[in-house]
This record gives sequence, C-alpha cells and structure tokens, in this order.
Amino acid sequence: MKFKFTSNLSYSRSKFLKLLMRTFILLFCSITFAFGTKNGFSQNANITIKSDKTLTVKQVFKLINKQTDYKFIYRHDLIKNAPELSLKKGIIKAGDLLEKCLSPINFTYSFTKNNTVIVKAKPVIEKKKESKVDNVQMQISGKVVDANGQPLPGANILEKGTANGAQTDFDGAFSINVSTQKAVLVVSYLGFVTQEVAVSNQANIVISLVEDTATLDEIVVIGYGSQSRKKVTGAVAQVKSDQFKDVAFSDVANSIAGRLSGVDIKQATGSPGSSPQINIRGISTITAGSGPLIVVDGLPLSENVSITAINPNEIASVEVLKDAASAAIYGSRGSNGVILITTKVGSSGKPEFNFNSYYGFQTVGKKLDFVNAYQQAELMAEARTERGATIPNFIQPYLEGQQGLTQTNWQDHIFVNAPIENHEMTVSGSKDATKYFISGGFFKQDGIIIGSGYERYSLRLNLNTSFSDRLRFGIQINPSYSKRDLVEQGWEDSPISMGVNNSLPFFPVYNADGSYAISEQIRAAQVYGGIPEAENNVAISDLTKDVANSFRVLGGAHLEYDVTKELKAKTYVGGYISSIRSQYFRPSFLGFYRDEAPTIATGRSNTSEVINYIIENTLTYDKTFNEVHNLSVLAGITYQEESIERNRIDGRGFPNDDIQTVSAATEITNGSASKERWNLVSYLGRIQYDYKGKYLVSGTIRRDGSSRFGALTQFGTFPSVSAGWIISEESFFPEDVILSELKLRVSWGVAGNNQIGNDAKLAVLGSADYNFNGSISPGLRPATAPNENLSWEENTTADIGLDIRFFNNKLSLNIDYYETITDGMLLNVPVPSYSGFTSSLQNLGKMKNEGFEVALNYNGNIGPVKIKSSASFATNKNEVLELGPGQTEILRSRNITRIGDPIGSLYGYNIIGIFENQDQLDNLPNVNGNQVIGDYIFKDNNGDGSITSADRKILGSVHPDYTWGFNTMLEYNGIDLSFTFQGVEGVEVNDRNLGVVLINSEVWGNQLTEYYDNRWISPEQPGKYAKPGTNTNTLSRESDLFTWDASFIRVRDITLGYTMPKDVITKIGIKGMRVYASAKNPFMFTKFLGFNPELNGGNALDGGVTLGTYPIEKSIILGINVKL
Amino acid sequence: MKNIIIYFCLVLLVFSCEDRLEITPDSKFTAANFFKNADDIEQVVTSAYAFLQSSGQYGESFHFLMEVPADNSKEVSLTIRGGDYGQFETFNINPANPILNRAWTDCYKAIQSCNIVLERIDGIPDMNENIKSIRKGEMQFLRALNYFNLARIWGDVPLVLKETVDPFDFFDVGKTPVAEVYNQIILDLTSAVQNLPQSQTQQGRVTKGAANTLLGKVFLNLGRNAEAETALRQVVGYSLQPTFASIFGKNFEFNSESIFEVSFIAGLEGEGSRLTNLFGVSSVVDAGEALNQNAPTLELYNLYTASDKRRDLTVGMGSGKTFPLKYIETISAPNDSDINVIVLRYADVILMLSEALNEQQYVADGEAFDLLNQIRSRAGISTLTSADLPDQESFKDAIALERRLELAFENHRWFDLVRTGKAVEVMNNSSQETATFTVQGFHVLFPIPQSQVDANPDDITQNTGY
Repeated sequence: MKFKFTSNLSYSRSKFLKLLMRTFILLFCSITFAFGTKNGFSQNANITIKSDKTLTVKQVFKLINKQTDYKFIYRHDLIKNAPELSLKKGIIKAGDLLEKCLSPINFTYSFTKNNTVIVKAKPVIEKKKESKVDNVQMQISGKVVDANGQPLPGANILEKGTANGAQTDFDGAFSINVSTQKAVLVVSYLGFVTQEVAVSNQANIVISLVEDTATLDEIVVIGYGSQSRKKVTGAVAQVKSDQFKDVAFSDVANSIAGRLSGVDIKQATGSPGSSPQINIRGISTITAGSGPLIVVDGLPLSENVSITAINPNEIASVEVLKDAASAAIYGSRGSNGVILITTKVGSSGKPEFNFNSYYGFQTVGKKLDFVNAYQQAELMAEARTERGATIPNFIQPYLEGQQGLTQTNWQDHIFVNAPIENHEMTVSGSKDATKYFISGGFFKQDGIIIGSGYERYSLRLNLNTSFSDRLRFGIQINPSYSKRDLVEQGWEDSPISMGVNNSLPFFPVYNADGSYAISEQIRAAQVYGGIPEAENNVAISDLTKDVANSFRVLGGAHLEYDVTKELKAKTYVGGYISSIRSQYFRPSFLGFYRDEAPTIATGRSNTSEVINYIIENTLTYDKTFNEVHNLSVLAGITYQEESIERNRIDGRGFPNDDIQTVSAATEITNGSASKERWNLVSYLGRIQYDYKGKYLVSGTIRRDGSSRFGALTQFGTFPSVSAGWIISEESFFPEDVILSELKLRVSWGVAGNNQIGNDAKLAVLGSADYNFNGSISPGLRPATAPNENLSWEENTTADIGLDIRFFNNKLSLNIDYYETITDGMLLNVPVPSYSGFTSSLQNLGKMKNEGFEVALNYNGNIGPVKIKSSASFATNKNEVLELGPGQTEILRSRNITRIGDPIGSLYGYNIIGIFENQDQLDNLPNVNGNQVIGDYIFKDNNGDGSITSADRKILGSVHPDYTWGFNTMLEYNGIDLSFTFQGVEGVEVNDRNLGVVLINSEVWGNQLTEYYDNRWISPEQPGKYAKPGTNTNTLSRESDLFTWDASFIRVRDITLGYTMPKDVITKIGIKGMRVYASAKNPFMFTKFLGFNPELNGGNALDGGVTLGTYPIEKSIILGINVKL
Repeated sequence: MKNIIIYFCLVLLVFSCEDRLEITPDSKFTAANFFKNADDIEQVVTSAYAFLQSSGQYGESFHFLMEVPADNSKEVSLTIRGGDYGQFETFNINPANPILNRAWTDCYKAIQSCNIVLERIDGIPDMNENIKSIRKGEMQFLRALNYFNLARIWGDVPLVLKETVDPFDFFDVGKTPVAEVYNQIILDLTSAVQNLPQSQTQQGRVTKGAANTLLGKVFLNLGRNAEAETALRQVVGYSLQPTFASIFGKNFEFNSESIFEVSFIAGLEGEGSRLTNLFGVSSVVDAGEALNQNAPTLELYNLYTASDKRRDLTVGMGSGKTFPLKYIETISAPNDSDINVIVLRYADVILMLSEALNEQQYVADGEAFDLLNQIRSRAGISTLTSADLPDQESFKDAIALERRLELAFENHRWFDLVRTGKAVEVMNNSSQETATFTVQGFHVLFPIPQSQVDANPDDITQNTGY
C-alpha cells in the first residue's frame, strides 16, 4: 500500500500532496519505531502489573508477549467469551498468570521450544455419578429490557465461570443452554450496569437492566472526532438531548440557554424565527462578528446561517468548545468558541416510531405600565403650558374630566394571544448493517405581535452503513422550508420600536364598523407641533406584508475506510444551499409617520441564494503501545467555499392593493444585484497521547488560508497544546467512596476570528451619481480604505481546569479559570474624516477577557426519586488593553471604549437632581443658560463651571458581572418535573425607547406611570423626574437617566410530565406514552422597566443600546409523546 | 478497494488549491484597478458633484448651518427629529450634533474626489488635453467651494490637497490657519478661471462665470473689495431674469441668471431632493411627511413692502404656518423633489459688486446705486437715490437688507451677518419667534464635530466657547 501511494504521488505537483506525503512518512516512521521496541528474552519471567486493572484473556496474552517475547497460539473464537481477570498491582510469574486466567474457562497451556505457548481446552473429565442431576443440560430463554421495558438488542449473556454465552436479538430475546440449575447468568450491555441473575428453576427470565449513569456520557464530540469524556483536556461543555426535550423552544440555542457555564445565550428578541445571540466567554472582538462557529455534523456554517431551521428534537448532543485549545482546530474561525451540533443516528433493531406533538398559547411576557388617557392629557397639558405651546383640542375633553371618552391601551391590541404548535414523527432503527434515523416535523408559532409568525417544515434522513468490515458510509440530509412573517421594521412605524410609545390613548384602533381607524392621530396632531403624527400601529402591523420564505438543504456524506486497524481515512463532502425570497408590500390606505393616508403603495422583492460546500479529507491513527501508551493522531485538509447572490427590486405606485407583487408597480425605484464569495483552504493536525489514561497531552495545529485577508497575510497558523492529569488514577490516590475522580487540566492555544465580511481588505469604490442635462452620469468614489495587511484577530487563551466527581460519578464539579488575550483586533478605527474616509479597518488593539466558570451536575437518586440537576455559574471580565496608535478611547454616540475599561461602556452625563429653586439655578452650571426650575441638574464633573462634553463619564458596563443557570429534572413513579432558571447580574443597558419617550418630560408620546408618579411639579411637590415641558437638553445628551440596571432572574421553563405505566400501555399496543405540560418564560424578576432586559449587542462598540426590540413571549403548552 | 479510496482522496485533494484564494469581487469596483482611463476619471469627477446633493451639503445640512441660525428662518419645533435640528435655532449646539458632522464629512469626501482627479488626470492617456483642463478647472472650483464653506463654518480647518493613501497618516494632521485656507481657495479659483470655458454643453457643470463669482465672493468675505470688484466684473454672459417668478422651480432651471446650481431630478434613484418634505407643510406637500423646518420668520415677511413681488414668492403661508416657497413644489413621491438648489446667481453678483464699490468709496448715485436699483426695480419696489442713502453706512444697510430680501433661503444670510460683523447684534435683536436665546461672539463659528476632536485630540482643538 505504501508503495502504491508513493508511485501515485509522482503524478501530482500539488503542494498539498507533498504535505500529505510528509504526514504519511511521519506516521509510518512512528509505527515502525513503535513496533521495534520490545523487552528481552526470558524463560518463566516475572510479569509486572503496574496498577490494579481488569484485563481480558487476550490482553493478558499481549501483556505477557510484551514483557517476555512468548508468542501465543490459540483459537480466537474459543476464548472470546472468557471472563475478565482482575489483577492486583505487583509482580507475578508468567505461568501463574496464565493458570489464573485460563482455568476458569477450562483451558490449559503448554510451552513449546520456540518460545511459543499453545492454549487449548482441558480434556473433558467424566463427572462422577452423584453429580449427574446437577449436570442436566437446561435451556433457558428470556428477554433483556431497560427500565422502561424497552428491549435491548445485542446484550451479552454469559454463564458465569464458563465461556458459554449468547446475545439478544432485535427483540431483546435470547436463549442459552446452561449446564446446571445453579448457573448464574452475567448480563451486560453498553451503558448499563452489568447484572448477575441466578437461573434457579426459571425457564423464562425477563432481565431488566439499569442505566449506568456513570458511563452514559462517556463520549464527547470534539473538533474532527470524539473523545472519551475522561480524557478531554480542553474546556468542553456538553448538553445531551434528553436534557432539553419537550420544551417549546423553536431552536436549539434557546433550548440550551442557561445550561452551560460561560455560554451566554441572549434571547433579545421574541420575533418568531429569529436566532438568539450567542457569546462564549464574553466578547473578544470589537468590530468583527462575535458569534461562535457552529458546526452541524462536521459541517461548519458561515456566520450568517441561522440554526433556527434545525428542529431541536433531531439533535443528539450539543458540545461547546470554549477554550482556544479545543477551538484552535477550527483555526481562523475558532476564537469566539465553537458549537458542535450532532444529530441523532439510528438505534439498533426494529424500527421504533416516535410521535411528538404539542400545542400551546403564548402571550407577551410583559406590558409597559402606561398612564391612562386622563393622566396622559394632564401631562401633555402641563408640558405644553410650560413651553408655551397650544393645548391640543383633542385633549380638552380629558382635561375637563368628561367620562366615556376613548381610552386606548394600544398594547392590548398590538399584542395578541398566539398559538404555538409542533408535530413530528421519527423512525429510528437498523436493518443488517444499516442504521437509519428519519424525522419529519412541522412547527408553527404565531407572533405575539399581530401580523407576525413563523412556520417550519423539516425533514431529516441520517443513514449509516458498512459496505464491509473496513468501509463505512454515512449520509445526513436535512431539507427545511420556513416562512417568516415579520412586522414593520421602521423606526417610527414599527410596534417593536416607537410604535407602541407613539400611539396616544386618545385615538381609537377601530371604527364603529370594526374597520381600522386610519390616520386619525396624524390628522389631529398635524395641527400642533411636538406630538407624534403616528399611523395606527395595529393596522400597520396587521396589513403590511413582510414575508420571507426560505428553503434550505443542509447535509453531508462521508466515507470512512480502515486502511489498517489503526489507520482510518475519511472523506467528507458537505454543504448547504439556501434560498430566501422575501416580499414586502405596504398598501396605499395606510399612512406613514407624518404622512396621512392615502399614500403611495410601496413594494419590494428580494432574493438571496447561498451555496456553500466543503471537501474534507482526514486520516486518523489510533494505537496503544505496550499497553500503556495511547496515541491518537489526526491529519487533514479541508476546502470550503461559499457564494452569496442577492437581487432586489423596489417598486411603488401600485394601481390598487389587490396585486401586491412588484410586477404591478407603476414605477420601479430601485433594482440591484450583487454577488460575493469567500473561500478557505486549511490543513490541520492533532496528536493526542496519554500514558495509562493518567497523563494526557494533546497538541493541535491548523493552517488557514482565507480569501478574506490581505495578500500579504493570507495564511495563518493556529497552534494549541493541552495537558491533563487524572490524579485519581494514581496509586497513591486513596480508594475513596466520596471522591471518585479528580482531573487537572491546563491548556493554551491560539484561534482566530475571520468574521469581517468578504471584501474588507479591498479599497471598494462606492457609487456617487449625479445628473447633468437631466440624465444620470455614473460616479464612483473611494468608499473604503484598502489594507493589504488585513488579517484575522488572534485570540490566545490559557485555561486551567479541575474536574471532580463524587459518589461514584453521581456528582460532578467542573471548575475553569481562563484568560484570553485578543490581539490584532479588527478595528474599524475612526480616522479623521478630513482624510476622506471616516474609518479604516485595521488589525489593532488588544483586549483581555478573564473569567471563572463552575458547573455542577448531579445525576442520581434520592430514595425513589431520580434526579438530574445541573447548575452553572460564570464570570467574565473584559478589559481593553490597547487601541489604535495613540488612541486611548473610541467614543460613539452612547458608548465609550477606553483602555483599561470594558469595551463599549455606556457613556454620558450624570444627572444629580432637579433645579429646586432660583438660587440653585443661579449658582449651578446650567447647560446653555436656558434651563429653568424643575429641569435636571447636570453634574459638572470636571468642575470648570460649565456643562460641556468633557463632563461625560462612564455610566455603566454592558457586560454582566456574572451569569448563572440552574435546572433540575425529577422523576418519580412515572411523574417528571423539570425547571430551568437563568440569571444575569451586574449589567446596564441604555433603552432609547424608554429614555426618549417614556420618561421624557417633553411629553412627546406615551408616558409611564413611573414618570407620572415621580415628576417634579413644584418645590412643594418635588420628584425625581423633570417638570413636564422643561427639559430640552437631556434628550440630545445621553445621561444616566437612560441607563438601567438590566440584571434579571428568569424562569425559562417548568415542565410537568407523566409517563404511562407499562402495563397500561402495552394493553393498547404501544411501547410508551408520556403527556406533559410546560410553561416557558413564566416568571421574570428584574428592576428594568422595559420589555426585555436582554439586548442584542450588535457592534460591540455600541453595545447595550436598544431602539426597541420585539418583546419576548411567555407560553403554556400541552404535549404528548407516543412510542410505537 | 484500497486503490479506489486513495484515488478518490487524491482527486479531491488536488481540487483544494491555494490559488483559488485570490477572489476578485464579482459586483464591486475596487480602487486597485480603477483610475486608469478617461471614463474612470470622469466618474470620479461626477462623484465630486454628487456630494453637492448629499445630506451633509445642499441636500440638507447647509440649510441648517447657513439659514436656520439667522433671522430669516426658524425651527418651529425644537424637539423635532430628536432635537438635533433645533440646536441651530437656539445656538445651543452640541458638538456631537450629527448635522454638523455630516457637513464636515461630506465636504472632505468631496475634496478627496477633487484631489484624486487633480493628482491623476495629467497621467491619463486617452483624454483630450482640452477636456483635461476643463475637468481640472471644475475640480479646482469644487475644492475651493468646499473649503470656502468649511472655512466659513469652522474657521481654521485641516487643508488636505493630496489623494489619501493611508487614512492613518491624518492622525498627525491638524488645523491650518484660516488665512492659509483662503490663500489656497484663491489659488484654486484663479486657476479654475483660466481652465474653465465660458459655457459647458452639459448643464450643471462649472463655468468660468461661476469661478469668477465665487472668487468675488471670497474676496468680499475677506474685505479685499478691489479684488472682489475685479473678479465680479469678469462675470459676463448672465442677465437678470425678467421677473422674480421666473427664477426658481422646475421650469426655470439653468436660466440666464443662474451661475451655479445643484441639480436634483425626481424619479431617478437618488437624484431627488428631500427639501420639499423637510421644509413644507402638510397642506401643500402631496407625498410623504411635511416637517415644516427652516420656516420663514414673520419678521422677514413683514420686512417686505406690500408691493414687493418677492414676498409671496419667498414666504408661503397656510394654516398659520410659514414655509420657504423657493423649495416647495408638487411632488409625486416622498423625498423626491425636482427643485434645484441655486448656489450662485447673477442677482447676487450685482449686489456683491454694488457692495464692493460702496466699500471702496461711497459715490452718490453712482454705479453702486444703479446696481442696487436693478434688483429693486425687478422686485417692483421704488428705486433709491442718494437722498434716501446719503452716506456709505446707510448704503451698507440698504445693501444688507436687499440681500436679505432678495437672497432669503439661498444660504447667504448667516454668512452675510458674520461677514459684516453684525451677527451678534442682529440676532440678539431679532424676533426670536421660537425660543429666546442669546448669541455671543464665539457663535460666529460652529463647534468642530466631536468625532474629529475625539479622533485626533492632540491636533484638532475645539473652537472657543464649545
């Protein structure tokens, strides 16, 4: 094979092949070297047992072979079912050792001349007559099932002390001939506790095995492979599907929120079909994307791909690679952490059908506490009197206290009770060498804002098969179709931004005939300045059409070949095609802000198509040398490419509202088409080594070449090393009933961030057209400054961790401390705009994130109650270490990023009270000399006697001091109860919506009761908010008035389920049934007055600022799960 | 089997080729391959014009920097659009004001386009030498206009005359004394006068007349009245329109009086003007919002005599609101008006010349009187003699008033007040119809945008008072 490979090579000139060849040579050299080591010859030698261990007969042979040079000849099948042998640490004679392991299965051995040991069965000795009764052959049949009565196919049954064994079939049934009634059957199955059953006189035995919780989570998926949990040396967190099943979260990210330490999943918007923002261990970038790399079954998705289209119930596990040592294998995409999503594979045996349905109702999580119409009129009148503005006639009746007037709480109409439902069916099983998992699902969520919603139809086929002992094949195909109905997005026209606040309670939603009341507020307000001229927002949300249909196929196939027993070659080809088509139409009978109906109908049609594919070839080599040296090597090359094409047409002037496609527009106002591409060539390698599973080291390296980076910096190398010491494996470690496992981990690694857009390195020209003689002359001007040196951000992370397990692995504790330095941050440095550019993208600046994470898991029983519980706690401290040359801070309109402080701190003036009297007004600095009694006092922080921009200070951090989560699942007698808490502490936000409109003494739009109750009226009736109508300065000057404590504790879900007893359901012919009720987001505790304290960061420099987002929902669902 | 697998792997590996990493954008122009031929350069020239339409210049900001602070115009609501616009009414201007920032940025972006052309045009092989010199003249004019506006708004400003290679270089560049900026403006305009033709086939392009007019304006601004007179006398080939009604609006674009105007066209993507929506009131604006900004003061309205034909063509009245008629027309789509913004017109030249003559020497019933009376006659108001204006001072006041009435809302008033040193006095005595305010000496310059001070605090110091 080796020969052929090299001869093939000569045909190719590719650089890569040379690399591959070198890898091969390296691999083969190490193999030869390993084979060459052997102890000297010795007859009847001493065999050293270095630690207490359990070995199979075969392993004993190997051990002797290694230490003595004896060769063994035996019939493999004869000793296959021999029991394992427990050996104590120490020295034993080879002969004694062989005797010890062969006699229980009635075998013996003999030495021959050539250092060969022949192993054969003992000659059968005639039994004495008196024992004849006992020796009657007896056939026993039975069934092996799990705790729920599900059959376990492929379980091993062994007659104790003999080589006599059997296996269960697909139905879990077996039959075995035993030699005596006193025989004991040893029943074992992977993932279950091995059980011994005395035969006695039973001819038919049902054996129920109990899950071995300690071994169930043994395998952890890591980049390009998987590893035993015990041997993981990086910071990897894992959630298994059974921990988040049956909760009505539409996507996987929301399902795992609050379950993993250091993984902050923010549900900043409740818009159905939206993806939450995920930040792993804080934000380590300024302008580049801060989202982690998401890898689905080995397919890395690009940063814009939503995982919302993946049905969470198809997912088997989610692993999060948190430190650079784990993520560095993903190179220039690993610095924000990596989320590995693994979908389910088929189970063994007959097809198992699973039906899962739920149905529920959602309502808005929180409504704002607005004043009523009479109070609103009172505030408006006060404000307008103070300013000397006219009192609008439409508030007069309210001021006069007339009864029976319109009092609309617009929230009651914009927010609706909305159904949510999910129905899915899965089939899982195997036939011959093929395992299959097929799933089909339908999910529909109506929005809690009128006119919004999401529907998803998804299918999945996962197939794994073996063509031969050495060739395996697998394929995953996941087509999905989704339809998302959005609400109007504009600032003033959208209920998710200003809409709710702009709509005054004096105007009705509906006319007497039930139709929408259109433009009433606009017409009434047009006469007066300073009143929002807002269109009926309920009508806008309901009647404006904004729909996005996406169709996506995501999938991959792999072929895996065992070149030798140790060396495996794998080729993976995967990718996705996604097509999104959006249509927008706003009818002419709706007005716009400040523009009463009828207006000009506008429409838009967008399409975008993304094609992404990856080709990946990896070689893995796994071998154990001398029993104690475990080596695993990975080498690979991957190529990934994506192209994105977008088209857009805008039209207006539709003759009527019947035909809403752009085709009907009388005027096309805009048409555009664009295409972008990126690609990535990568070489990767990893070596994992451990000595006796006790001392672990691992090293990875990846070299990435990306089209996104400058010509001078196209390739980057990302190394990592990590080590672990399982202290509990040491002989000095006491056999302790409390402490069952103790591992110390350290890691260091470098990963990158390439999320900067595709053309950032180039000096792109932007269009700047002009018209001479009435026709357009095309114009182009420099839009961005070039940078040939543009490169990835580099994250260097050091991590130290401790994994401790107690009470026979029932309780585990993981502690991590990390420090990440981000260097060469992609900083869109504001440059003096007299350069002709406002910013330039550079690799500048340094940032540090350090944090501490604790995860606690309990998995066991208290009496008859089964408990699965986990708690997580994480801190992260962000500090900017360096910025651009000579730059000490980056100031944005509401945030400041300053060296020594966290990125994007909220920034502005301090308000220290209200001018109570003339004396204060005369003596305290006053913003422009025009302030009056009752207005806010700005703090003269620099003491220069006037209020200038130099008086601004940091008002709060948008990064939480700590986040925590707690969830528990209790099971007792078929009843299960689970709940999840999530908490965020020590974070501030700037809610523009709340600040500008709701507690604004200008009384522009709706006001909160908070303002009404606490406004300053007179020195006799003081308050903490300015007197209505006095405040002309606070709105354009950010201050602590708009800064809110956004800490919260949220109960994310509570679920109560009941699993029908087996004897009841078998009567109706089904294998299992569970009914459940679940409440999502039922409670939240926070001081924040707005809809939702969780905000989407967007650009980190402008973090923690919201202009209003779709509020999140709370819901109650009922569900049923049936197994056939 | 083995062979097949290995072969399969190899085929795929060869495919993964590093040469593919160089991706040329499929739908974007990049500077690396541009600026090579005449067509390319023409596009950059066009872009310099395009900034005239931008929201940082005549498309929006300039009206708030050049008219709203003065006494002809008011912001009716101090809170409209977040309150940023109202700051120019009350002189309570926050350096972080976005209107201010846009004006600064769009001027310098336009200058960047001019610099690229001026630096590269000599090396363009396929361009006629005559065209080259005309385009140079256009760019010199536009660069001068941008610097003139920068200097009048902010005083000392950075003087950038080269194409930017690396924007990082500018962290070391500070402000240039305003006198030096003016020297460069005069240099550019003098050269533009040489390079430009009397007229251009394409309407909207800069002509020799425009360069002379601007040069005259610059000299007048600097008090160099004799040089102003010389330049203004070079402005030939223009005449006053017969009536005031035939100057503004779609039907009178590029008329005989117009010297330089910013062209807007409705119905062409990005070429329409927003001014009708920004300045209009809902009773006259047919599509989109009507913000009623930059509204004429009643003080202005009352200054026109009843017979002055200009009054009802300048100040619109309706439902108790006023609006500047020079920018209001019937529109069929929001923010898509056809009305051009006239930057320079012959009436301004006549009044400037009159002023320059009077500044040099008062001559009773001399040429300065004739010029002033040309404007008054067209407006339908009485002509003035030395009996009405017996001395230089009274003539000065008459010219100032005439400019105010004739050129209202054409972005001259605030600078006229500053130029003549009357800004503080006049504004504090003005009718202050929206809110009371006090103007101080430092207010004649606006604050440097906060972003510029923040980006380069060592070199860019804030103007006094802010």
